[in-house]
Amino acid sequence: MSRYILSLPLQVLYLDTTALATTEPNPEELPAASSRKWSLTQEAFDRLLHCLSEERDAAAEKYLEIRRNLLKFFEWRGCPFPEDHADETVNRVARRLTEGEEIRNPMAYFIGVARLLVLEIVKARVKETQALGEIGKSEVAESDDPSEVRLDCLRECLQGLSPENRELILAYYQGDKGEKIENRRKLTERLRVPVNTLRMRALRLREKLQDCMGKCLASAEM
Amino acid sequence: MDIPATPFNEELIVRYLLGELAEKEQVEVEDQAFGDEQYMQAVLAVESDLIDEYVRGEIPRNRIKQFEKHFLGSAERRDKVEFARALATVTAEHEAPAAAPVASIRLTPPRENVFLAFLRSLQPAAAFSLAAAALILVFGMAWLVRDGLRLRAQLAQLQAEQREREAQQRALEEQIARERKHNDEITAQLQ
Repeated sequence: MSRYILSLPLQVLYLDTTALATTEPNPEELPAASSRKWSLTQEAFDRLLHCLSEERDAAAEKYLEIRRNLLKFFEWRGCPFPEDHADETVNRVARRLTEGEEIRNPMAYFIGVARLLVLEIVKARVKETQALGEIGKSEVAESDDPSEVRLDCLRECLQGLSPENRELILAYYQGDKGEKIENRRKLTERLRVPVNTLRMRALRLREKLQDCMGKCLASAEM
Repeated sequence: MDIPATPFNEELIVRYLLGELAEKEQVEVEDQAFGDEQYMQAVLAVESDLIDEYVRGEIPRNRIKQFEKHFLGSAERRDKVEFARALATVTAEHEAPAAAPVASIRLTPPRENVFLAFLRSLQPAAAFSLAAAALILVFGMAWLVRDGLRLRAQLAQLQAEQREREAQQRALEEQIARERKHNDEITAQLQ
C-alpha cells in the first residue's frame, strides 16, 4: 500500500474570496490571505441552488453534478484534498452570489473558480516545500500487498455481481499487458460489442465494485 | 491505453492525468470532459488503465516518478490504487475460469462423462488396446456366466436322478422285506 505524506498548509482552505468579485474569475486579482473567513449560510446556499435552477429538485441534481465534476477536477489536478477544495469552491461561488454576482454558465464558472483555487494550492505548496527545503519531495511508504480485509471485501463484492458481470470484469482485467489486450479483443468478439462499449461496461462495474468495497471496509472498521 | 482505435487522443489524456500538459492544454481537456459525457468516460477509463499499469509495474519507468508525485496526490487516488491492487490479486486468483470464454462458460455442460474424457485423453493405439481388452473381458464374463448356468442345470438333473434311484431302491427293499415275511409265513404253515 502506498502512503504519501504531502505537505499543505490548512490555511489554503480558508483563503479570502473577495478577489472573486468579478463576473469571471481572474487570477490577476488573487488576494493575499485574509484573516476574515466566510462560511456558507442556508440563505447563500438557497441562492446558489436557485441560480442553478428555479426548480428545487433540478437545482439539487445540478448541484450534485457540479460537485462530482469538481471532485474529479481537483483529483485530476493532483490536489491533496479534493473534497475540501470542492467545498471551498462552492463557498466562494455562493459568496459571490450573495454579493450580487450574476452567473450565466454555472459549470464553467465553478470550474473557473476551482482553477484559481488550484493556483493558490500550488503556490502554497511550493512556498511550504521551499521553507522546508524539500521541494518536490514526498514520502512514500510502499506496501504492494493489499490487506486481507480489503481482499475479502472485494471477493464479497464480486459475489454480489451477476455471474455474467463477474465473469466479464474478471476476464477484462486479467493478464499482463499483451495478454490483457488479447483477452479484451476476444471479449469484444465474443460479446459482439465495440471496444469502447466493453471498456465503459468494465469501467462501470469497476466503479460499482470500488464503491461496494469502500462501504464494506467502512463497516469492517466500525 | 490498452486498446487502440478509440476516438480520443489517449496519450493526451495520459499526459493530462500525469500533469505533463501546459495550463492551456489542461483547460482544453477539462472543458471537453465537462462538456461531453463520452469524453469524460474516456478520461475515467484511461485513468483506470493508468492505475492498473502502475499496480502491475507496466507503467514506463520515466513516468513512475511523475505518477507518484502528481497522480497519487490525494487520498481518493490512493484509494483507487489500493482498489486496483486488490482487483489485480483477485483476478489472478480467478486466472483459469476467467481465461475461459465468457459465452462458452454459460454453454459448457456442468460435468462431462469421466470415462469418455479419459478415453479422449489417450493416444489412439492405447485407446484401441483398452477397448479390445474391455471387449474380451465382457465376452469372457458372458461365457463364464453361461457355463455356470449350464453346470447348475446338470447338477440339478443328477440330483433328481439320484433321488429317483434312492426311491426305487427303498421300494425294492420294502418289496424284499415283504417277500421275506411272506416266505417266513409259508414256511411256518408247512411246518
